Amino acid sequence: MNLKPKYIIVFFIALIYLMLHILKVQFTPFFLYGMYSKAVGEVDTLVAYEIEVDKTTYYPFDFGREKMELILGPLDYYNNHLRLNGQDPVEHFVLTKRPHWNESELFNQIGEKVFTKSEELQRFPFWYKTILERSLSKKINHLIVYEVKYTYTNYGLKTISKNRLIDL
Amino acid sequence: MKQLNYMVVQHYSLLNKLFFGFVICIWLIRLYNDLLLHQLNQPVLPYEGRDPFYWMMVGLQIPQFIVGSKLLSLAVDFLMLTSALGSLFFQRIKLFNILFVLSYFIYFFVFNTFLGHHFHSVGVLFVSLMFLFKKDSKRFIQAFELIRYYFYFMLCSAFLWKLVRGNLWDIDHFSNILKIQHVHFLQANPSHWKADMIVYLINNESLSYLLWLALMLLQGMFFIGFFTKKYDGLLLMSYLFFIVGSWLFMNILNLDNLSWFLVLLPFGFLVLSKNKAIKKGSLTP
Repeated sequence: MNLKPKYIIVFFIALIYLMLHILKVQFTPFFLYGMYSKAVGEVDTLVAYEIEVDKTTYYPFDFGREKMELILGPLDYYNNHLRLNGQDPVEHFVLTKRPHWNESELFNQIGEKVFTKSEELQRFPFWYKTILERSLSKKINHLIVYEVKYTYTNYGLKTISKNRLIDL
Repeated sequence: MKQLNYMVVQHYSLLNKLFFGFVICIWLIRLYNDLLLHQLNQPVLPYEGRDPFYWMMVGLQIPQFIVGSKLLSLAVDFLMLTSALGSLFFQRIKLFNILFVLSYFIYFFVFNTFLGHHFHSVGVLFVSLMFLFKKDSKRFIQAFELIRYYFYFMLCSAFLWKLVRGNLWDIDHFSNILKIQHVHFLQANPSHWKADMIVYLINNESLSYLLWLALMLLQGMFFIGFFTKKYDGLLLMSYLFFIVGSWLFMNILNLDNLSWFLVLLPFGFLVLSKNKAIKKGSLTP
């Protein structure tokens, strides 16, 4: 049997894809397209953010659809760290699934290079302020960012709590 | 369907112009929204996610190195624009296409690293690959076919994930997704007409379930494309409805993914050329 190289390549790509689907791991450029398929369950609390710039309140959506990616994504990721007392959310996820890896020297060595360092977390609020200054085209004297928790009622959102994340 | 392949080759220049013209528009929109690498102000929090590729990149400090240097990040952005312009105006010089794929891929993974989320907007990335080949090369049509199949795989895979994870039996699924998806919109625009529509859908689980099924069906339809190209016109409409539905109900409008339309366009050209022939009387309907 004399298979053409292109069929062999396609076969290997299919094999890699199959393995990644079984492991539920994405390995760029082998993308997995399972977004929005995971069961969500009853949603009790919804998290959003409120940005107070020199006593003027902005919501992430006020920045427009495209820019919201920049305003919201990094902030949400930063907040995920704070919820875990500074631990990297990915590290937390891995160690929840494989607690014994905490003892592994290899995992700890990789973690040192890959996972978030405390100085990166400390620098985040200052970087975030520069991004907001650029987006609003003005200098910010006082910035407060709140994490706002909502519950959903039949008429919309109802605030449960407001927690200060950044105060600069 | 050889006619369709013929249409692809015949309209190479137009497809190329449409694609790179669109890419330049995206670049300008990103510039306006401060989303180019040099505009990120040297971000500090890399997101590795659960993707070994990003673990390697972040571990090797590559994205940090690129955004850490204003000059280097500006060079990537500039290369992305100039190589797209070069690909648009000098279609025969393939070096521009190679440079575009390279610079766009760097932009793609560095952007994803610092945005706290790994986006699946891979339309530009994949569609650009077919222009690496010359119009008269056999590989161009093979690349076009492969990318067409990949696009169909992407949608079918999304459909299968939903099916396997039991979305068909989860009546509340879309209602719950809508709550999470629109929290920022509802927070900022509680009295907007779209907010009323979202609240109505959240409260009516059966209706939102039917909409979710319709969106799933639009994705599942792409299985047809693996067996025949005869229904590419139907799939073109299906993808159009999917995009409109995603925008209307999920507030998702991913510009990069609009470039997937390019793999469905040759069917449109085929229909147009047949209509022209019918009008001229050289072909009977």
